[in-house]
Amino acid sequence: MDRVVIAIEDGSIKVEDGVFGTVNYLIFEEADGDVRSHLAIAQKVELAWILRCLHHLATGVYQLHSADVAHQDLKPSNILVFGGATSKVADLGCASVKGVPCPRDGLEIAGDGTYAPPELLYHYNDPDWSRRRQACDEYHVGSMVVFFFCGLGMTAMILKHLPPEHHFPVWAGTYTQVLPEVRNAFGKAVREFENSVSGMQLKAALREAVTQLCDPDPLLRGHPANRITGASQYSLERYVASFNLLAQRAEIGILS
Amino acid sequence: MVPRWRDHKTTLALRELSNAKAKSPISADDTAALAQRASEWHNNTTIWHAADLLSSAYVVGVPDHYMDAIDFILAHPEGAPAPLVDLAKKAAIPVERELADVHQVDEEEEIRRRIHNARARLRDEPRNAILWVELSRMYMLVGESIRALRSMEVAAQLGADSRVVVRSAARLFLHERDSSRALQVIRRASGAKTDPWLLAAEIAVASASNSPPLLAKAGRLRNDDTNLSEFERTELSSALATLELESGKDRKARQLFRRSLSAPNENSVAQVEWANRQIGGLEIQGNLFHVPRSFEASAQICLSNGEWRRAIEYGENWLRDQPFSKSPATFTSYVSSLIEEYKRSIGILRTSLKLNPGDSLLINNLAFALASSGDVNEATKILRGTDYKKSTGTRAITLSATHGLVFFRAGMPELGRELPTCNRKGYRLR
Repeated sequence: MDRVVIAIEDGSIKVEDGVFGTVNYLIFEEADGDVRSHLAIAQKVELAWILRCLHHLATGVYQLHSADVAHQDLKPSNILVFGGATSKVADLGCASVKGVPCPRDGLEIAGDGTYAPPELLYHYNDPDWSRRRQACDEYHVGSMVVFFFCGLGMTAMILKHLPPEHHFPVWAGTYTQVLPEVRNAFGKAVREFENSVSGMQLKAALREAVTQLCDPDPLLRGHPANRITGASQYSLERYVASFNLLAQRAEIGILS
Repeated sequence: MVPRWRDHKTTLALRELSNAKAKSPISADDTAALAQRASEWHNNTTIWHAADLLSSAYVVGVPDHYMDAIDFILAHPEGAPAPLVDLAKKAAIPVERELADVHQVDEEEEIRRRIHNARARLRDEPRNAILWVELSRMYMLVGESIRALRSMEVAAQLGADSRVVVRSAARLFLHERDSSRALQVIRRASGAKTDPWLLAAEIAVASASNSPPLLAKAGRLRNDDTNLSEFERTELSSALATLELESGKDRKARQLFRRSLSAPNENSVAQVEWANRQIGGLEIQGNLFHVPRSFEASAQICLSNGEWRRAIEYGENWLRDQPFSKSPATFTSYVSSLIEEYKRSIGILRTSLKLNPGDSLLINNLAFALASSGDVNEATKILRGTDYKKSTGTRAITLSATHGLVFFRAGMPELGRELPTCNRKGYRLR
């Protein structure tokens, strides 16, 4: 779990102020800040840094999924930077563990609703743990790709292109009834994202990743090759490899 | 009352795709998340913190609560990604959606260019049902009905529950004389029994194809639902009214038609205008002015009032609005011929025949206009191969009359006079 921020110590301490009593604590390794701070501080954010961050993010989520843990709350403020170069996934407060009852499992949206995938916002809740929880993480990874190049999460990008009458707060129908409109808006959002990326090779690779990771239909999300090889549909292994390759090419200056 | 089929943008602008409920309040969790993000933004005045805040605020519909973040982004566009700046502009000054005026149908070259672009987009978005519907419509505009049907079948598979896909598909299948497929696509939609727009479509398509509507009862129940807005029920009321009219229940029909006029759309206004000509007692003129695209009703009223030129003007707009529908073409060409403006009539009919090949009424009207304008040879060519035996009722009479006209103009008055006999003998123009 080297790409996940985990507690290095935990315990409890008695506070002699007559107010708090005993306080439980967790101590985590100290980060520089989250990705927003790094993007803001860096004089010029190198493409190589962004791609390496995405590689680390995908790796962290892959590590969690390998342990049957779904994060469910991935967003810019939950991706921490260490030593300027290493990124890790943080804050497992909304996480779900397969087969283990977790505090936020009963909620329609376990994590931050403003970054939630569209199906959850439209109250489409799949009872299958993987299709609901891991698919949500998959979407969040793709959404972070979009955030780095567009300054917006994928949900904001979709809603930007979706006619107001189809927005989730006012939609009275079901998700399957509005899905074609959401998909149409998604197509426009992906094109806008693509136009924000320079370089043909990078554009094509990231376009493919975002299209697969953020598909508005959770049943279709994920790398298509996973379905052929029999791997878990929501396995991020291929994206870990893909982002790693892109990062390496950018680091040695051969990415076009 | 069959559903209209327009481009997606126009259909949205006509408000026919909403399925509204009272806006859900922002959840306590989202409110807390926004408060956290706003605090972080105030402590870190950077583009990326502003971006995170605006992205979240936009999703829950309150970007205007954070104008300082929006202003900051707009003041520093050089440091912000273009989509972020674009969203900030949109949030700062929301733009009202406008209904475009009808325009002349694009030249075939332009439509083919758009078809090419749509197909390119579909390579990247093969599951985009809305785009398949748009592609189908463009194929219809260039007369490629087989491709249009194929595209629509894909759309119907991908968007079987989507109102716009289902109504467009039903319209196309009905146009292509496959009413059973049209009814099937409506009845299989998950919202068929509850969506007033789909209920109206089922009743109308069944009526148009002389089949019994299976959802009339569900439609009546839904029409009585007080949760439905007057606009949402306009086509449903009108469709139910038409059923009553067809059953001879004029009083009930008038009640329902009047209800449909509470908040009408163009389709229901046109239907009420038609009904008024059948049973009377339905005043609609005052209702027309605020109803967008009410060209059909306006055209018919002008015709009834003897205002030929205005009727033609509305007819042409009706045709631009519904380019592959036969009705505006037959109407406008008919009125043009009435005032002997045959050139216009011929142009309209030729175009419509490209989109509706072999239609006997269009052929008849074209032959009439050609013969009346003196182009007997062309009229003969157009009528060649038409056979009275294949027509029945008024269409047979109309065709036979036009044949007669052509015989007269061709200098064969004896044959023209004998036309009823020729009809019995199955005489055909060669």
